[in-house]
Amino acid sequence: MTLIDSSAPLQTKVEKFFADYVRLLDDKRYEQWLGLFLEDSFYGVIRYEDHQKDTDFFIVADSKDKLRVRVKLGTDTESRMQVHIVTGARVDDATDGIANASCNFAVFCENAVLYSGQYKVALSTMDDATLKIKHCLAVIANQQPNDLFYLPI
Amino acid sequence: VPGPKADTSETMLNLNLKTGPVADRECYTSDAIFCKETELIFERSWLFVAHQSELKTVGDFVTTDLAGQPVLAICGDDGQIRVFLNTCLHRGAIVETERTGCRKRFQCLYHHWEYDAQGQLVFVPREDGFGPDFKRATHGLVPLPKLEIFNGLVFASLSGDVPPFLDYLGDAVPFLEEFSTYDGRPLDVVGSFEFTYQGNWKLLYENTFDDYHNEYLHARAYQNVPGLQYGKSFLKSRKENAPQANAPQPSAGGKRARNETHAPTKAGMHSVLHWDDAADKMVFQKERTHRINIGIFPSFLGVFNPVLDFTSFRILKPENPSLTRVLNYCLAPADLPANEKKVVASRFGGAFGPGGPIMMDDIRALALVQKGLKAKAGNVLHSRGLHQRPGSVGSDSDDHAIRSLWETWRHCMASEQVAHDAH
Repeated sequence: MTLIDSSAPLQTKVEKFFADYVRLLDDKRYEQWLGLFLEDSFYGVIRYEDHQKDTDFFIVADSKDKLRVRVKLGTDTESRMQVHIVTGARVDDATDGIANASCNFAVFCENAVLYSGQYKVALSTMDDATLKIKHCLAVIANQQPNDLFYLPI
Repeated sequence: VPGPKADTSETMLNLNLKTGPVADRECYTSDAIFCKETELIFERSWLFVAHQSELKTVGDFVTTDLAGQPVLAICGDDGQIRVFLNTCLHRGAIVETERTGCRKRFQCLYHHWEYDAQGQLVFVPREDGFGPDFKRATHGLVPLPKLEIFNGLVFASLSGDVPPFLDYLGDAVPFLEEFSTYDGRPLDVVGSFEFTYQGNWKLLYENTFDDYHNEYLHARAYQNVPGLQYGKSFLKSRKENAPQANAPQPSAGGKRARNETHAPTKAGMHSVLHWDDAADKMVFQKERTHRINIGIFPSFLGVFNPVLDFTSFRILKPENPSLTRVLNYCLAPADLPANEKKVVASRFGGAFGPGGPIMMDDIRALALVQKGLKAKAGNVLHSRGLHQRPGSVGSDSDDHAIRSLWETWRHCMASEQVAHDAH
C-alpha cells in the first residue's frame, strides 16, 4: 500500500491519507497505523456535544505512547472485524506546513454501526512531502458511547 | 400491558433473607426482581439528581431520570433549586429535552404550554378553550416530594416516605462530607457523559468496592501505566491501609444498612498506587493522598483517585436486569483556573470512561458475569474476609462493603413482605 504520493495535490493527498488511515485500522496493521502519527502527536475521541462546547472532556485522550499501549492491549482483547467508511475528505485550511483536514466516518462491526462522526486532523508535511498526524480528533455523533475503545477508531 | 410480576412470597426473598453472604443468581437476571427493585428501592430512596455547580444561575437546568421517570432540576428566580417531574401537565410530553442549559421559560413543544423557572404554568395558548374552571395554578410542573442539597450534591426522592436525608446517610455523613469537597473547597462539574454496560446495576456497585479483582483483571492495564504497578503501594507505606476499627465508617445505605457493614474508604480501596510517581502526576494538590470509594445506596458511587486527582460520580440508571446506563461525572475544585480544569477533564475520560483501560476491563468483565449468571450453578459468593473479619470493617479486598449493599438490598426488598406479614 502506498501511503502518500508526494507529487499529488494536497486535497488528493488528504483523501488518500484518510483512506489509508482507516484501511490500516481495518487490516489491523497497527504498527503502520501508528507510523502515521508524529511522536508528539495527540489522539482523542470526544462526543459531538462536548466538542461543540469547546470542552476537553475526552473519552479517549492519548499521547502516542498511550496509543501504543492501547493498541498493544487492544489487539489481544478485541478480535472482531471492524469496517471503517470515510467520505467527504477535505482540506479545511493549510498554513505553515500544517494542513487541517476533516472527513466523515462510520465504524461498522457485526453489521451494526458502532460509531459515526467526523475525523478532524492536523497534518504536518514532512521533508519527503508525506503527511503525518500532529493532532487527531474523532468527534463521535453518539450521545452515549455504545462500545469500548480497546482499539482506536 | 402489565409487566412481569414478582412473587415475593416464594423462594427468592426467603432464600436471600436467610442465607447470609450469598445472592441467588436470579437477583441479577430476573425481570420480576428488577420490577420489584424499581418499586421498592429506586422509587423509595434518595437518588442523586445533579450537582449544584450545574445550577448556579437563574434558569440553569439539568434533566435526568430517577427510577425511569424523567425529572427536571431548575435554579429558580429566587436562587432556589427545585426538582420536578419533566412532563407537561397537558398531554404528558417531556417539557425540557436538553440535558443541561439555561432558560427563563420551559415550553412544551406539543401545544406550547409554558412553565417558568419555579415550575408554574405561565402560558397556555387559547386558554379559554379549557373552560372557565381551568386554573393554571393547579397545572404547574409536579415537584418531587423530597429534596436535599449536601455540599453541592442534589438528592431527591420520588417518595415522600423516606427517612430524613442525614438519617438516611447515617454514619456515611463524615465521609460524604470529605468526598464532596476538595479539602473543604467546593467542587465544580467539569463534564459528564453516559455510557452503558451489559450487566445488572448491582454489578458495578459491587465492582466499585471489590478490591480483590484489581491485580488480576486490571494487571495488564496497570502494567502499562507509570505509577500504577502493583507492590509499590504508597498507601501501605504510609500505614493508612490498615482497617481502622474505631473510626466511623460509611455504610452503603445509611440507617437502612443498620450500621452493620461498611465500605473501607479511609483504608483506600486500591493499594496499587506508587506515591513517588503519584506525586509527580499531581497537578494541583500534594496533600489529599488517599483514595475514597463511597456508595450511597442504591445508585450513587463516588470515587476520588489521588493519582489522577479528580473526583468522580458514577450514577447508576438501571434499564433492565441486564443493561445499566451510567452517568459519569468528573469534578474539580471550583476555584481551579479554567486551563487546569481542562487538564482534569482531559484525564478523566481516558481513565474512567469506556475509553479508559481500567473501565473497559470492568465493563467487559461485567458483561461476562451477566452472561454467566444465566447458568443455574449455585449462589454468588460475597463471603470474602468474613471468617477473619466478620464485622463492619475489613481489609481492602474483603467483601464487607458488598455485604453491606446486599444487607440494604434485602432490607428494602423485604419491606413489602414484612408489611404484608404484619397485617
